[in-house]
Amino acid sequence: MKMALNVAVWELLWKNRLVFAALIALLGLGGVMTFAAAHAAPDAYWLPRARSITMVSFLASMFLGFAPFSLMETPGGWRMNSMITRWYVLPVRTGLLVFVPLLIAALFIALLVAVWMPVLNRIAPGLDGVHFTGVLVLGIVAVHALAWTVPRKPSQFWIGAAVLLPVVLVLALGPQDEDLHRRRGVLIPLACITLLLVAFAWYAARRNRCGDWPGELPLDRPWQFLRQGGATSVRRRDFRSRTAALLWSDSLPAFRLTAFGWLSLNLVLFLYFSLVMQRERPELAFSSRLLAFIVIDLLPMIGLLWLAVWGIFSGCEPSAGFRTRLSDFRATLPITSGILAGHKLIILFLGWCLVWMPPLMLSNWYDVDVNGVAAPETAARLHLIMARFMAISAYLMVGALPLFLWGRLNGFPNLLLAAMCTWAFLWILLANLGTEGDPGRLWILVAALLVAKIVAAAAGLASSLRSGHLTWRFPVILFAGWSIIAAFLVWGLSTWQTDGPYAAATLVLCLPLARLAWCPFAIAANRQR
Amino acid sequence: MEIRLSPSDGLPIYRQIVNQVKYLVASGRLRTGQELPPIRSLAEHLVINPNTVVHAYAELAKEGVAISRHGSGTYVAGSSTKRPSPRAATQRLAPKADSLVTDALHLNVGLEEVVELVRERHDLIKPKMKS
Amino acid sequence: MNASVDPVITLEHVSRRYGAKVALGDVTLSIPRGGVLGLVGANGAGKTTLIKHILGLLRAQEGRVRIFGFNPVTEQVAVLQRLGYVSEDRDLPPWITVGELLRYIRSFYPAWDPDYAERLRQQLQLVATARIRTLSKGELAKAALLVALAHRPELLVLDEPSSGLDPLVRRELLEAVVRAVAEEGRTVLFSSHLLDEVARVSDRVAMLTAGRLVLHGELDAIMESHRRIVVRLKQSEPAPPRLPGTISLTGGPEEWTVICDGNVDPFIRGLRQDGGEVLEDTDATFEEIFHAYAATPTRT
Repeated sequence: MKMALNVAVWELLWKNRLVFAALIALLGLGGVMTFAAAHAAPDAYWLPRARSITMVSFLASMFLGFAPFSLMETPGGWRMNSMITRWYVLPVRTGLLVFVPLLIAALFIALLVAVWMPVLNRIAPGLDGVHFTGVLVLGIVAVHALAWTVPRKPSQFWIGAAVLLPVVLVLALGPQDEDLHRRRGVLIPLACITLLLVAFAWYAARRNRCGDWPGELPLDRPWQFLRQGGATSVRRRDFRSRTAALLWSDSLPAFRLTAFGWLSLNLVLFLYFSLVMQRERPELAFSSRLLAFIVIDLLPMIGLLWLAVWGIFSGCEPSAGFRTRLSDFRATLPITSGILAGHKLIILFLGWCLVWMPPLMLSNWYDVDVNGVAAPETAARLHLIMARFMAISAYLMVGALPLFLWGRLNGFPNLLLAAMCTWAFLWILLANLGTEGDPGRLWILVAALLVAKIVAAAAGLASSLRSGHLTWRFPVILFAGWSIIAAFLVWGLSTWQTDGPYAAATLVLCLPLARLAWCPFAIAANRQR
Repeated sequence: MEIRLSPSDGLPIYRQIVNQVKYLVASGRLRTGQELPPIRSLAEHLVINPNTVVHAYAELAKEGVAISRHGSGTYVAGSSTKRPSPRAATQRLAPKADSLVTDALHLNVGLEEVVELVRERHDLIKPKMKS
Repeated sequence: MNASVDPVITLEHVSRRYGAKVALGDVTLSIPRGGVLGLVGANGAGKTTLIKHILGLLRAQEGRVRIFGFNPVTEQVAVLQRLGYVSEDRDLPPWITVGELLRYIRSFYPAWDPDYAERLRQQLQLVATARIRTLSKGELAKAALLVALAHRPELLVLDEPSSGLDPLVRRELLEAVVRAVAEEGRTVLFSSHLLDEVARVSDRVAMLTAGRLVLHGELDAIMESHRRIVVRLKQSEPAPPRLPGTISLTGGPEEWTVICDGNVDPFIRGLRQDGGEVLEDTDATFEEIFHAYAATPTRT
């Protein structure tokens, strides 16, 4: 027991001592803001801002609170954050090794919510603290269990986390149901999933002492099939060029999986929108822009997720990472200058889920009025909010880059943390720019970020062209592809709806996303001289 | 005591040590009564398993080249008292003779000259071994 | 339980499959106390899988594993407390300093001796205030060895300790291992594909080929019993008669190199009867023995 505590003390608490300092600072900030708001005149001009700062501090401290307990650690280099494997050979009983850190994490999250409750009760009176704590504690327990379940498969962990976290967040941060029974009822499925995961983790850890139990599952074949197709798809002809070989070996498996994932996700969403939403919220169901958003978002996002593992989709994105072995391939050399490795893109994906799934879900499920706007306007407001969220997270990388670098240099425990800090920072920035009354200012910011991105891309491209690693075909195909996508969007949006700035905004935002999907073709076109 | 191990040699390491100690004794670089390095320091110096050194010293003692005094170390013995059986001796010398003869044939050196050379070397080394 | 007689590691008919792939096939191995066992084998031959069974990270699908008489899967604490392990990727917390690392690790081992740990750190020339993240590859390997040795384990398990290191650090590591053996008669299990290293440091070797134990015994005995014989046959044949003790046959059609084990006299007699002649008869080097066994995975 003492030894298991020792593991937790060193590897959870001492390692993340900076995080705890930040949590205390955030709590202080929220407390001060709430206190000041309580003693201010009711019409003080800074009141809404104080409220939003409190909210953001709270959200940031929730993310920060989760980060140290994810049991993930950066292994350095290009690999993604993975479970701390050295724990397995510590002379501590398996049960204690699994459950002591898990209990500490659960207690910590409960404590964190408890200390925030007085503040939260001020800005959102009547909040059910038990529900809130329940969701978050179940969430952290599930994350732990997930980590122990797939101890040697970090990619599986991150995919699981990407699915789990939005659910937890929607449940935790969404408006609570009026009815106590229904409120508690919401917790049951989550509790079931968590318990199942805990049981599975316990089995996995005991079976082989956190060893390679997935190796015992006969899943090789389906996986192989998904990635490479049946045995008949073995290539027998020679490749015509290095680019073809590269595409075949790296892009095709990713492409197959991406297409599969994209199709299935869209199917689910389509069913949801057409069956559930049509009945409950008909005015939103076929909001074409919403659908366009989802479709266009998901394509590169899933691509990005797989890119995180398989690398090639954003091979052309100068700031994006890709598989190390591609760095030997001459055509992709300039792209190695991209400093963000795959696992950071997973974080981007997580960021996306965190950022745009909750408002989307919330505004569909509930009659939410966002920032005091009445329900009929919700659809329009939603677009503004989503546009804002998307703008922020699409350019998350730009803002997060210094933090990532800083984290790399200082061995920051969790990159998720860095991404979330950036997100919170930008959120504060945007929330306080007063963009509600003047959307133009949001677009100025977005445009500035876009320009920064384009300059970076152009510089990378220019140096690649100069050094002869890229040929003129590359930019031509890239821009041709993007133009087609852009034209399609302009046409599509103007046919569906013509409310000016939003359509334009959508277009502006979709372009950088859609171009990622076009990158493989540009690579393919980039034949060596 | 200078010992060089050659991993590409087919001989076990303990055998290499035994042979080289015997050579050092034969060529007079190790004198009777001189102490061989302690097991641990030789093992660390050569980066080999201490048990191998133990094995080598035991072999040296068995062949009468060294005497192990309980608790105080291993010392070079006087001239070899125990002789290997004639058959074993021949067996050990045969490969060396083979390579000598092969080289001589390649260099077009006649048998008489080789025998003469062996005699010369023998006369040179033997007095050193006695001392 | 008589500790000095009982073997430290006992594996009885241990088998393991990953899907259709046999990672370990019916391995029976017993390692006595004291001395160094060199575990050799090509990449993917099952060395790491075997080590994982010893550490209790894998449960034997078939067969029995006992370390100090304990089952390493169910009695991890008893096994892991008496064992030091250096993994191939030297997994250490990157955010910690060497000094902190020792303080962290010491709490897991009741019989920790701070003076010894400190001496060891100095011997390995590691700076206590250096953060693990800033260490070079060689220093990282030394730090991993320090952590594995500092609690005076009875059994030291090293999985490819010197892969990717320069000769200087490699020598330093091996020296530390030799010291550890010399000092307290530890048992060391040492996996490597650097045969030179294994031949130097081990007194016993075990060789895995495709998950099967093809050779196991005292290194000196193995070296003495294996011979390399070059023969010339009377007329060219697809293969010379396969005589007992033959492990590998290469070359041909007239001149063949034979690596064989045990008494070679019957072999030579048989060859002469067929009208062949022996061109060379020398001791086989460890490398030749390794290649001979690696080439013949299914030796009966």
